[in-house]
Amino acid sequence: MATTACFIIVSRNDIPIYEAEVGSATKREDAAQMHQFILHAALDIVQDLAWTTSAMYLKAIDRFNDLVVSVYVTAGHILCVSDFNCVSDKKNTEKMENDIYVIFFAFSVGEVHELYIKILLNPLYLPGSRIASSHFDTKVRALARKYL
Amino acid sequence: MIGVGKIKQYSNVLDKPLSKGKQEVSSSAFAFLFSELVQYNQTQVDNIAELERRLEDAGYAVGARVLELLCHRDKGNRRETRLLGILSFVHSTVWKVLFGKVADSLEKGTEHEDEYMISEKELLVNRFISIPKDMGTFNCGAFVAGIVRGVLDGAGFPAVVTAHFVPMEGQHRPRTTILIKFGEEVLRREARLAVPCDIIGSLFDFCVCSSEHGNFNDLVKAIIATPVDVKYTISLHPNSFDLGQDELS
Repeated sequence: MATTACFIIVSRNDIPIYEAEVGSATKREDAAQMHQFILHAALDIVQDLAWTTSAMYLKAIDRFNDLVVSVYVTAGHILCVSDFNCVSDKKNTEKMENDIYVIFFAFSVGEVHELYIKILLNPLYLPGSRIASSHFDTKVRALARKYL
Repeated sequence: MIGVGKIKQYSNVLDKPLSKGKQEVSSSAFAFLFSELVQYNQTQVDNIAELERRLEDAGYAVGARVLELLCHRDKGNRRETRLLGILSFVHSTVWKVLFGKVADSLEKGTEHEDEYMISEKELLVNRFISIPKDMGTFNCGAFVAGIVRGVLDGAGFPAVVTAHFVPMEGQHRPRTTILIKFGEEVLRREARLAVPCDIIGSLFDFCVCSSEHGNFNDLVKAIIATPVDVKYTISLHPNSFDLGQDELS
């Protein structure tokens, strides 16, 4: 399954503090701008939705063509937003979407959230500032390779 | 105790597993560190209010991190979206991890709707501290107030949090009360969330259906303004609601 995804972590005042484009599919030229556009459009929806449930993982809150946006809202209202694009196998869409939710769930719940907490617990990290750690970046990309 | 048992060295903080939260630190070590914190900040300021603000800021940084960590570790990745939920989270979960026990009491202010108090007979940070006469109302509990503010603010409940001494009858030392005053928007959201979501959903559908003739703004205002039990009647009897003929704005 070839998928491509853009993964960003957004701080409380809607400032992206981490961005990564992951996935195995070949990139389109305008992909970077498009991901930005779609993910930012989804932020407003999250703001309202986040108060109606106590779950952290909100799946498929928005979609744009074949890109599906899922969000993971942490206790401190830091958002891990991600959109997925499935390029192959158009027939079995429903099952595949479900697979992707499971993947993203494992991806963000199990691991990236924990990585983020470790970064946050560093007393020298200012909450809400950009995550510049190269170790963090390497780990997130390694996880993405593992799951996607 | 620090330095007891084998501690594995990790070259990178991201490789180290999150702590299980069972470690304890000796209270004298904490007291020395905290006294240094107060003394250092004392040299940086020229009045009491400024000193309290600096202690509060130090606490805020702790609170913001504690919230994220505990919701992940102790709450199984659930967020708190309701006022009482987050207060009891502070009162029990946070207090237990930081001070080894739940707080002595959590009360609602009698005079104001938006005020809550967490009281503690012998607050850890005040245990070895006596305030000189010339420092007036200064309270080292400002540090704990900052922690509480950090947790609440992080969870989306902005509040003004202050620490006060309250003298108790028959006791030599006063107890410490952490006074929490929530922002206006928190209470407004809380009133809105008091309506079950499916009813809001159906009301919303109803509004959309009737938006050609109905006055959407009036309906929304009515939803926000009515007490909880009345809201059910509105949702069950939409016809009883008098719809204006104004254009939807």
